[in-house]
Amino acid sequence: MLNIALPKGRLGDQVYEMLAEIGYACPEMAHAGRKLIFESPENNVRYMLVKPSDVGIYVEHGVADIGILGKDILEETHPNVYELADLGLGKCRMAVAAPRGFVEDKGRTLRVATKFANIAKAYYARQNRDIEIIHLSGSIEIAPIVGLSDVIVDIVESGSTLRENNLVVLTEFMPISARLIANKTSFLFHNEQITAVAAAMTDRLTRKEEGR
Amino acid sequence: MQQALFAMLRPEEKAVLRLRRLYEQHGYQKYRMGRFEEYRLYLEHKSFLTSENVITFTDLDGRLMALKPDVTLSIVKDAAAKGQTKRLYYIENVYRPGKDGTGYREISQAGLELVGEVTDHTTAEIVLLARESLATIHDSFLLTINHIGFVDGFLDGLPIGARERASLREALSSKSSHTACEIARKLNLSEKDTELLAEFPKLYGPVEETLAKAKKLVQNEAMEEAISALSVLAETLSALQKSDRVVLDFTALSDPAYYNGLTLTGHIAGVPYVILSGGQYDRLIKRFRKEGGGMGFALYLDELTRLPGFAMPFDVDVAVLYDPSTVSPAKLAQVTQEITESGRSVWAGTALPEDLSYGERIKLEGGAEKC
Repeated sequence: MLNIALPKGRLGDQVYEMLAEIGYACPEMAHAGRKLIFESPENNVRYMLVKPSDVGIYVEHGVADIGILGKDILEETHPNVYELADLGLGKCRMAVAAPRGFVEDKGRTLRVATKFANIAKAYYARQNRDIEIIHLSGSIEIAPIVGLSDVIVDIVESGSTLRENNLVVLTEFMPISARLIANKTSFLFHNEQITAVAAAMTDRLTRKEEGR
Repeated sequence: MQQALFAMLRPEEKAVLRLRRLYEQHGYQKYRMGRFEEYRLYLEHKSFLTSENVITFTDLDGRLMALKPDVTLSIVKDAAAKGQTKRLYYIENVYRPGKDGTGYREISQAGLELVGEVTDHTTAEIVLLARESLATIHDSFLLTINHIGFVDGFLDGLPIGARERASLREALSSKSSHTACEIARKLNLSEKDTELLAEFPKLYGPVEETLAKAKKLVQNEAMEEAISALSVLAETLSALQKSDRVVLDFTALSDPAYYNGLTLTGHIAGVPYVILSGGQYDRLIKRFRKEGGGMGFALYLDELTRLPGFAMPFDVDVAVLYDPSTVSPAKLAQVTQEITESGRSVWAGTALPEDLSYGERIKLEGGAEKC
């Protein structure tokens, strides 16, 4: 049986649709309610609905053979897994943003508010820029407005939240989309099945892009 | 009697005994290690450690000592000094930061090292012993082999810096063809090199089949040498009918600062992490003596406890509850002796401890037994 960790929410729904189309449907999923584990013995699949940031943990520890998560979480948490495919879903960018009119004082440490401390550290390390990380869990946009930080590093999709808070994007530095990941031991022992899932999902994506 | 004794052991203890037998049958001698080593050894060779974090203390004579984080360094230091080819195995505890980063752990490790002349013959010997070690532990195992000269030989030929090389290596190691292509395009690599980078993660599978695919992608002498070394090994595995449960994976990329040739990783179904890792490490040998090389592998025995079959089902097989006012000491001793002689473990007492788990409970009252 193939165990799949799906992120709860819109991305998880989109990915489930793809998986159902390639033969991994689980009719129980239509009546999800508060249930978090769904099984389809006839299609030999079990789904686990988990918090997006936990998908990598489930897959790394082998309770899920494969999983789907955003590149942002993959880069931030670095689970020890294989990244088999870019599914092209949930596209957005990691960006540095600041209040309109912000001028950076390069002579002092830059204060950066973010949920993505590791991504922010790696980005500024590549530029040899000394920074202080202010780790927040949400409402990052407020930080520079109230003087908690100089800039923010966060995901930007349409940019409307930034505009509404009078922030502008200074740099976009990492394109983000959903990735198919696999546990390294599962990849060995269920290689044919996992490789086939990755190929079918990539193929479906290619056909969809060609159809546009 | 011996069988009953063996049956009483925990699964990981049984595995250790079987490994000892395997290694001694093949002429490997047990390496006895002290708990401590001078910290200087790890400081001078820190690039060969999995973690630079070491537990240290000052000895009574003022020397800075360490609780051993690694066995290979100690073996190489001792064996290399003697100048001959040494075959040694060990079953030891080492002290390293745990995977979860919450603190140091005492980690149980077994392994073997061959220090001296590494040839096609000794390489085959070690690969076969790695395969047998996994087979000794569990029926459902896979041994992955690779020669890092193939992919690293290709990367050596690219006009890229150390940082870009590390990014490409990381992408290939995570079987991420799309990320490797993305990096290659950013670096303006040729279309041919980009296509080859995208192909490498797919070079995976049965040894001979994968070798045949890889041969078509050879670009330079280093890649050719890797193929040649793997071909000799493939021949040996095939001749001995040991190719099954061995896969060749060209992007199973171990640390190039440590390994220089053939590398090994072992997995067991149901354990999500690598259970065996090793390879050829001539660079480390060169630090201690001018000639020769080294090759070996380690088995991470603690990981075995993750296997469902490796958990003990109960604390004891039988719990005997007796009433001391009606059951004589002789009767109790007789009942417990019968149980132990049947190969089962027994606990006897007047009240069951809350945390004791057992397979069967017997109540002794006035000489009568009740289940």
